[in-house]
Amino acid sequence: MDPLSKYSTKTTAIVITTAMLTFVSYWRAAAVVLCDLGSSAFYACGIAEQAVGKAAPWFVLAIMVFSICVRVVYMESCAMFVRGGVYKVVKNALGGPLGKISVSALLFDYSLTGPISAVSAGHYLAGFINQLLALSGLGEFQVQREIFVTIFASLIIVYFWRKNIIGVGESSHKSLRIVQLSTIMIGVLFVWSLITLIAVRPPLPPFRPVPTEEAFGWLQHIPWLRAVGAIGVFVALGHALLAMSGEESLAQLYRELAHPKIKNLKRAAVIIFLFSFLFTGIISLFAVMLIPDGIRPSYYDNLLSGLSMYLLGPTIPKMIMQGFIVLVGVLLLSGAVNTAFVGANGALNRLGEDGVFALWFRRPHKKYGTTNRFLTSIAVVQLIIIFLCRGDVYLLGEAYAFGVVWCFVSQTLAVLVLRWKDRSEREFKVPFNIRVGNVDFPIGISIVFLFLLTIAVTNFFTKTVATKFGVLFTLLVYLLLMIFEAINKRRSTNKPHEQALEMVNLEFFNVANPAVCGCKHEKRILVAARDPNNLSHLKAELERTDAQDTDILVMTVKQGDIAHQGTVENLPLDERALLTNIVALAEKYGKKVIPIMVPASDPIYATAKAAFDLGAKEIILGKSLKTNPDVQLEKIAVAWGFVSSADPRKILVRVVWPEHELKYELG
Amino acid sequence: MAGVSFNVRLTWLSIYDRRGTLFRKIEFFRIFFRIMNICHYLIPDNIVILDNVKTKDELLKTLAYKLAEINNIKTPERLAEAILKREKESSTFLPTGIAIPHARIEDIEEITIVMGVLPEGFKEAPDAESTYLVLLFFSPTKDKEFGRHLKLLSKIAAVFRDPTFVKEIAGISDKDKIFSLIQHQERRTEE
Repeated sequence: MDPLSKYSTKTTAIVITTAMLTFVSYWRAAAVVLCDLGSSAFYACGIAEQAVGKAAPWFVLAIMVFSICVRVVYMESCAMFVRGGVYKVVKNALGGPLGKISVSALLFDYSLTGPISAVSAGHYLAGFINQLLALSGLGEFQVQREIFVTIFASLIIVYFWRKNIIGVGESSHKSLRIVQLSTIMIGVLFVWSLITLIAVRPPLPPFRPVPTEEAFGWLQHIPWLRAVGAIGVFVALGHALLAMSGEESLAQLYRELAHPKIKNLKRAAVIIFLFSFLFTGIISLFAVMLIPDGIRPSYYDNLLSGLSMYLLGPTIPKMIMQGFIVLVGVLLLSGAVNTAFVGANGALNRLGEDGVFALWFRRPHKKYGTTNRFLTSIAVVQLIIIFLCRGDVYLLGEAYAFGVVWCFVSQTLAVLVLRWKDRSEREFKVPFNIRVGNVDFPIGISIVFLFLLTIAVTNFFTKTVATKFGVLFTLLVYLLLMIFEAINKRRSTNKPHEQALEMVNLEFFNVANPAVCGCKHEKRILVAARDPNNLSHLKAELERTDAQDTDILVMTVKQGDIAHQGTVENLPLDERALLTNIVALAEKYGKKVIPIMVPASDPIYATAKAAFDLGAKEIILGKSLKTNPDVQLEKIAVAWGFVSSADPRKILVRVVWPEHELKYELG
Repeated sequence: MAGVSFNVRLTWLSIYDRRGTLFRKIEFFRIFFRIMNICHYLIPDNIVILDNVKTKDELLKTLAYKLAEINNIKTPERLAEAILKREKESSTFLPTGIAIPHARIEDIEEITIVMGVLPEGFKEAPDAESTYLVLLFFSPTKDKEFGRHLKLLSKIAAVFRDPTFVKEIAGISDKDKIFSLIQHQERRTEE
């Protein structure tokens, strides 16, 4: 028998796959949010004008400016919680029940966003096709709107369900393409509108809102309140608020944002602001200025389409532009379906990690590692809504936006409360803080909170349909979450902290090589990890290494029997804790790592063998609690001699621990 | 160094003692490229054939004292103590039939090595694999020398990776032949 047989002579490996280790650029993150924010440019001003009159575009512009204040609140929360969003932040600040109520309101809105956007996209397309048929003399052939819209909306839902099953990398790529096309359209429309404005010189819309009876909702029965000018302003802002949805999706996407996270979040925030200010804000203003007052109501559901017909120039180019606008509208609205999927999936994941859902429900997709059961549930709910409304989105539109505003309110309040509850240093803080002694007075967040609260309270009394539906369905979703949680607690044998452990897929390979491990780069480093609470070397490596040109393989040695294909539930708890902490660190730094598990009896030998087989240029070890770093290096030197005897190679070995590093080249 | 003779060639320098035995062969390009070589440190005189070794401590002490004697080190007990201390931290007995006890001490200026050959084999524990060769070495404590210390460990592991080769060496009583075989094996691992 080969005396070395107690060591593995070939490196078998379990490669851990999870969608949690996929990261996207700030362009993609901005694109996902912009599909939702941008799509509102087509109808937000029209809806607001119906409620508050011709001053609506000023309020849409004001909301676009204010959206950056809400975004910075989200940025501070992201700096505190990598896996953030309203549930996590509100729960930490104000407690679990309030966290669940906030996320229930948000889930209700996400359930509506998808159907509203998909059905609206169907309407735009159906209208455009019918117009084309009429223009080409085939007016008698018209698409049957109800059937067309229902089928088209369902197809969009199914398409983005599939893209999200594949992963956020795939779905965000589609969003980016949509936003790129939209940017071309905005550029052309903006320049063309500007030329028209210079030539026509129309007057600016009035600044004073004139809310209709209906816009005052329940407040119309209190005459003295209507006399207060500020109420009218907040009614107008409340109606323009739907131009600001999508912020929560940015918080959910923060987990997936690539390194450097906060810097990229700021970049995404600036892109979102510029795009939405120009597109939703300025173009809406142009539309109200250029489309005659008598004609504008017929374009309320798509002001931009109307704008194209009142630009300077011959009819045919204007019709081509209109077609382009409709096409972009269809795509942007379809992209908003993706935003709803991304946001709702993120929110459900946070609830799942907190033990609300059973473990089987959280199990990742075997091939893509995404939480496919959450995504399927979201798709099913959205499809049901589409079939129930049969292409009529008026009621859904009225019911929408309750969750968005209350979600902003609770999120801002939570970040404000956390200023006192959690005084640790933050990578980013909402500006305007006055320091007196050791206490920071958060003036900035407080103003944002008061402003949001005023809009939310105004909306509560004025948008009566949204309030009724919002309260009813928020309570319904909350009740459902409580039932799921109670069932899970009763059935599950897992302790609460086990619920928070990462759910990943395990894939068994007879040979560990760069291909099976999913390596993408020539340069590879191997980080050995063993103790879930001793990963400072991985942290140091994630800070130092550029994941754009280097594959970071994080290896742990599995002693004893090895599992074949399956989920992480087959592994012992401490190994699951180790994997969870590895994923959490990779998420924190926004850098992809490839976790692998190697079955072996000698961890040092297995590390050297894996490094050799994987063609790693560096081995990174944490400081052992049992031996000193010199001895660790000596052991790895012997192991490296063994494994590289037939094919001598150089390798850099580093033992890293807080503020220390020992590094030597072997071979 | 009376009686020492030198043989300088284009690529190496051979140093012989007064009996004409090769004391050290320094290959210039190896120094230039800092290539680690066991035979840079090991000479036939540093090879010891050991019989009737009962315990691990006895084996290590014997070799440490031998190394002190060859290299004219006045504190053999300190060497033995250092080796035993390091061995307690983590065993250096490997399953290919070799052991590489080593330590870093202040008493020496450069790496010094001694090789014990155990024709009958030695078991560190009843259920352990037999050990046939023990390459015991010391290196200076200076930080810059630790790299060479590690490279030598790697080199020894690579050269004695094959258990058949280890057993073959253990069956030879001629030290020059052992040295020659090791040299040959070392060159093979570098090709």
